[in-house]
Amino acid sequence: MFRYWGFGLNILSQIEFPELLPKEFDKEDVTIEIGITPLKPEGDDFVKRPFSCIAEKEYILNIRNVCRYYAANGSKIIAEPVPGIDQRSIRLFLLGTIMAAILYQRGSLPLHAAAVEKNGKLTLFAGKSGAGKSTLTALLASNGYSVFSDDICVMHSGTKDKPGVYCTASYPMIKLWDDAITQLDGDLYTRDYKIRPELPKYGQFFFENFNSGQLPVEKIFIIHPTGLSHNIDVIKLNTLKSFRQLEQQAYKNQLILSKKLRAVHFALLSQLTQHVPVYEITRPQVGTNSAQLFEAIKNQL
Amino acid sequence: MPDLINSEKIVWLASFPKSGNTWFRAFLTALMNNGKVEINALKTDGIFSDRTLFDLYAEIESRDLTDREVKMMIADVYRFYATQLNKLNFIKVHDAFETDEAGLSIIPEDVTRCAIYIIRNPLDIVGSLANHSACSIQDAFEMLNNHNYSLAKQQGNLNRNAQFRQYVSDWSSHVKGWTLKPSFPVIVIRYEDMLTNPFETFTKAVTFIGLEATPDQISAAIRASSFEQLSSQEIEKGFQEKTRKSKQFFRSGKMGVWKEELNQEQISALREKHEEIMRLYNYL
Repeated sequence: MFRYWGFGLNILSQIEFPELLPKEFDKEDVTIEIGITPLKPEGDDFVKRPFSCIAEKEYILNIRNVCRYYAANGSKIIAEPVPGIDQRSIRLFLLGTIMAAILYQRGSLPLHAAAVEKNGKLTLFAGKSGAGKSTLTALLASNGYSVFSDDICVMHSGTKDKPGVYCTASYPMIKLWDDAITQLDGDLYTRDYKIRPELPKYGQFFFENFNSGQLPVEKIFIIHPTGLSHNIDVIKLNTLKSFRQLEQQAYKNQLILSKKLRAVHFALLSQLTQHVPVYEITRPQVGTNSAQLFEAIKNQL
Repeated sequence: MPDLINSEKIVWLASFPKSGNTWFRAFLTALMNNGKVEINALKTDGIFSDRTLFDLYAEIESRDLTDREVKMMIADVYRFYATQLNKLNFIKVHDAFETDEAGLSIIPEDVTRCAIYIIRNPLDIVGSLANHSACSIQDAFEMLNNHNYSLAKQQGNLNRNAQFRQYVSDWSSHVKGWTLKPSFPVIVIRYEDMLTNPFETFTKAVTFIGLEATPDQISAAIRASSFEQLSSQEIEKGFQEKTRKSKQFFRSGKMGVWKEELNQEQISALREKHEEIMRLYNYL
């Protein structure tokens, strides 16, 4: 069995994950095994969707021709790969939707955001896939920041003694499209590790500078590409708008079923919007690059 | 609105690109919205190739899939989507009526009520397509004849634009696919009839879908969605569906402009290649 840290959790896995941080621990939070997945959740109270079944503490996802996954009680994952499928594809979807399901089952809030760190504080870039989070993060890594997390940030509330909102990284790899690597400074990023055999997208590991601690969130930018924008505009959102926009940024928020979980998220987002300034970046759907985004936000950084 | 007694909740608004699809959607918007149209808030229900809807229901990042994988899943996404609807949905589609790798239709026929297929004289599409794609008349001419023509085509197996790649095929194959293959009812509406005989043409489409509308409502919707109205809105506020490179989405809206835009060689070649379908729909 392999032992890792990822998403703030100790993970005991039958599958080898080069993406996760190797770590020794006494007790695991999550186990990952290869096996037969159940046909449906245990109880009758579940929702059937095109490729999934979801109950409060169980989630089954079937990605045709790749793998069928089962995530339960925030602590157990079974992967049932299609014979002959490559390992990277199995891991990619597990580290995305399946880990989000596990985190929701544990009552956590995974935000769809990348993050950079400077002086022990985090700047988050939230937004849907394709918004430009990863490329901007990679660019900031050459401008005095350290990459903290790509794609998912796990949020935690502070305490009375330690107010604010904190964040844990997912794992020490950032994913960049082929042309983003060309666009960025060529020496820093490589095309050595394709995240899936057929996709021109490459994993960049940053184990050496990886910070697995909980760090305070200093500010959040939400990147929003829109067909109506001709320019890049940055505006500071008021508390209500910040709340509404951030609510949409929960990673795969369609996996949130229970009212209890919504209440936990409500409390966390309320805390977040009270303590942390939130900016919205609107940018044209196509034709902007990370350097232009950086230029537009550098006064707010 | 008609009763929804079964799961057939989708009406496809299908066409080859630049054939009047947006105009028809503006008309439907006006009809469903007391005669008012705001071009950046059309009341129809998006486009088949929209990645956001797919990602919402598939629960994975479609950018992590190949286009081939997406095409094998998309019908099931819309099948499920249809179960969530409590009213008819009007969804634009430019994709050819084609099958995925397993030989299954990418369009979920079992949840479809019908399709409105909007057809336009291919000679007039050329100039419009050149404007939309910011390319030469010759390039647009070749697109209409190209059996491999796709929209939102992404280089090097990329699958990450806001819309999925849409395999369109050449003009005749597109018409044939949508008019001959589906197991659901399809009505063909000619762009030229929308222009020259709007009341009768739009009434025919409305009746076919099964929408309830009075003649006054249809007339008001036709007026609100006229080319002049849509074009002046674009000049004033811009149009989010305009491609970045093209100057204006609503260009001239006229028929017969091909006489000034195409050379004799292009006209003859198009007529020859698409003769069967052009004859069938009175373009020859």
